[in-house]
Amino acid sequence: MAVRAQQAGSIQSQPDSAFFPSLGIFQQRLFSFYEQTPGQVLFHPSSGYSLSQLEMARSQGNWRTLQQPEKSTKYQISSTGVSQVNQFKVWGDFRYTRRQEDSVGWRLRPEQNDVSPYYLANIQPGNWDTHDYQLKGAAGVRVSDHILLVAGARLQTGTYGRYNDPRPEISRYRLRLEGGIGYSISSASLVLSGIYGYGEETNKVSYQNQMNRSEGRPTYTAQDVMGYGFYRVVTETGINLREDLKIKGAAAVVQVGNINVTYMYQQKERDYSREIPVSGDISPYSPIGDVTQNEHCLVSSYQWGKTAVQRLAGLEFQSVSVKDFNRRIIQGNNYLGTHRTATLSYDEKRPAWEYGLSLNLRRDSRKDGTAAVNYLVQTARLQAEASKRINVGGNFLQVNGHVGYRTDVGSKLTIGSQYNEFMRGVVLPDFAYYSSGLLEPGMGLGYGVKVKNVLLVPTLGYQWQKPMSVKAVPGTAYQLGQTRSTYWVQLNVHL
Amino acid sequence: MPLLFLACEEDDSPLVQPVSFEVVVKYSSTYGNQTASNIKVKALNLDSKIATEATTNAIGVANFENLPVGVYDISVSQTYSPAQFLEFSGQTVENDVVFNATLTNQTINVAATKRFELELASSPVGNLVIKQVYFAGSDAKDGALFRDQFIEIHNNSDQVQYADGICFGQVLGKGGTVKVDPMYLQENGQYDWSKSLGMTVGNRANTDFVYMESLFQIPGTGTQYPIQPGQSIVIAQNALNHKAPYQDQAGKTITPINPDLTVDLSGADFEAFYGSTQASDINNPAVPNLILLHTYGKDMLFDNPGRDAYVLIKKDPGVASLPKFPTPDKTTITSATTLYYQVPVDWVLDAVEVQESSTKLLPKKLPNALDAGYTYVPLGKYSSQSVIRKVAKTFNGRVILQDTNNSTNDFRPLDRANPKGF
Repeated sequence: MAVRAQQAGSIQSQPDSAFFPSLGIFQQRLFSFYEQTPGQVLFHPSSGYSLSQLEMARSQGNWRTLQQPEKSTKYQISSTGVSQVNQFKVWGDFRYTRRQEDSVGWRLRPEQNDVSPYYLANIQPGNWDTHDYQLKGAAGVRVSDHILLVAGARLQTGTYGRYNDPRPEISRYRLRLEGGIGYSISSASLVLSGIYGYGEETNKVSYQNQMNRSEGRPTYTAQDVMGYGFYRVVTETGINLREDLKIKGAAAVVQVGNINVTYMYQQKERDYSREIPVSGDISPYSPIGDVTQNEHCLVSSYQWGKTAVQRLAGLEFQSVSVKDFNRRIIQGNNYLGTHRTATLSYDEKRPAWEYGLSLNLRRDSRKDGTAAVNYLVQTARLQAEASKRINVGGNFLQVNGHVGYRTDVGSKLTIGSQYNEFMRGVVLPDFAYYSSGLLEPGMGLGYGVKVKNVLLVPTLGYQWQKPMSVKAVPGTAYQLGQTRSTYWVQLNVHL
Repeated sequence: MPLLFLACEEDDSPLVQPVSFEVVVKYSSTYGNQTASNIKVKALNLDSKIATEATTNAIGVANFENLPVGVYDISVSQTYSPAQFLEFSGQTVENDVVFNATLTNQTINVAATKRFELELASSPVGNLVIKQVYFAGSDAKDGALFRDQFIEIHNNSDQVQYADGICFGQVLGKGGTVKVDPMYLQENGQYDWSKSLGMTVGNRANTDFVYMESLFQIPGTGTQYPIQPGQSIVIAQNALNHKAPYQDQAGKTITPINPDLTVDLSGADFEAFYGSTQASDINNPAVPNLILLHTYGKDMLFDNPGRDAYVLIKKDPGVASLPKFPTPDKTTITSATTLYYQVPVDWVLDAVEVQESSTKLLPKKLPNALDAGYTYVPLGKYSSQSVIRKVAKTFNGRVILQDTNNSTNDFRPLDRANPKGF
């Protein structure tokens, strides 16, 4: 999905914009529409740009769920760019992210927003230290007046760990390959691609204090979460979880003039198993469950206007449906999840200002059969942002601000007769957190300095989250706080 | 348009639903297999620890509706006062009579059976009961490892009882990792003793007897070791003050780093001295030694994770001549085959089943009539914790311990083992 850039500086001076194409929220938003799949690379609006970034961001506050950290610090190095190499147009993106988080409970996996319902968890909060590397690349070439060829790859790998009992050590790689062919007539082009990928993740949990493994310390007990309410204590001697990932899919890109419509479909098969100590020819992996994740994504954009005023309209849909087959005690389908978003956006770039408006509708449904949980969160979020550049001698000062407001549009939650610890600790706080009204103002201040052919834009930013109407959820194990704030320091390097 | 897109349901596949099941409760054949109506049945989910109760109807059926799939312990415990028991059975008794029945580790899902049967069995409440078992041991580095294990026996009656000749020991059962051909196992996964070589009592081999992995007898002339009402005796693996430094067999001085983790057993009433090569098997001449009728290992070693069952056996001159049998999976008997004492359930004064934890249950070794439940130390091995019987009441300082023949209800963990703590 294209994301609304909050961080980058803005400059409207035409020579600078032309020289540093990645400057400004408008440009970055436009680029992000074209950086979804390798099939788009030949239509990328930029013939060459480079944006590198060093960032430190810190987030703190009790407006969170128990699966989210109370404090989080992120260090990131990233570099993105487009280049023309002989006949080939090449796009690449690299980012390394180190994240330190504290007071994270109810999950022994690195990401809170992973849609898979299969993971290890425990109640006792702990501190995480994660290292994540992502490398993406795409290249395209016109082999004739009509025929286009594209190819690309994405690799994600990393190590992730928690340094309080229980201590998961996770290693992961996920590789996705894409290749396709296109046909072009006049200003219209169509590119069709196939997607194939695979990956593996192993999570091995250990305890430094063996007494923490005992039943006398239930908050340390590792659980197999296998749904959204259904979970079981891990009884095997070795606490571990393995995920085998297979991806297949397809993408279609249509470009007509300045209109781009990109559709992607991916089916991810995520099979979970546990390594058990056995000898002989018996498989050492005991199956736990299989998750099928179907993802549909449609990203479309239209750019128009002249040099003085440029406009960009975007429409994005994303649908992720998740279904499991539990291979443990249930031997059937226990979980159904759907996550859908639609975003309509409009951006405008004028000589003095840049503006952006977006409306996001979100529907998140989770059903756990045996635990009788039926969770539905539906929200609408409106965001406005603006950016202004003020020249200061040969340099410039940039100011940008944004405000977002989210409101509930028909969320509901029903739980059967039994409220277990997962429901109290995860389901109920999740419902309150994601369905409550929320105000999110933020601002950034940057200073642009040109050093030879390089533009440096150090930036400070701040965002504040304030719930407006927190849903009351009787029985919850965690009362949500009232604020969360995030500030960040960046050094943006434009080439 | 976006709203329509978001609202449509992509997958309406039927999900697994919560399950319903019924439990039929009846009395044992001793009471004519009568239906047990108006009895509370408890289903405990071993993962969420949520207990749900249902009451049996006029035909003895308790219906549980819409419970999450899971593994459950299903149990009944019903206490009759002497008057109630007279009305029920026509028999006169002096003390309360407790009926128990338990099914442990029952998988309840869509595919599994929807009907369970519980048979209520009773057994007399004993005069001598197992009060405390300290099997976990203490920290391997800071404490005393497992050389400080002990068992405590309590006089729960209002009369002096004599320990002389009383036996106790650990019941043999199939361990979790032992591979045994299923043809030699009962449905619950425990040994099918009816298939032991030389067994002549048929299926009663599994219900009317227990088989001893170890068997110890308290010495004495018959009236040498009295236990006063409300008092107890302690039987130690090693009757030493484990809080203090001691010299092992090799003359090496062993000092516990944190004496608070272990216990002083120098005042124990009996100890097990094997005269073995176990470094800590030291004889304290001031403490009488047990008679070793049947042993395994190099000392009186209790399984310190807790996978044992302990029985207290009445004094009987015939104990040493009880028949012995091999485990059912032995197809021949040689001089190397270990044979185990077969002790009639009627001889058992008290029993307690111990497990590692509620989520690591081994097949029960004791029949329901002896112990319908199990107990465990929550912090596990080397935790310094023991299991101790709850106090039911106190009469003029005489402590009466709870004995419903269901150790899930009767026992609790003690954070620090405490011999003769009260």
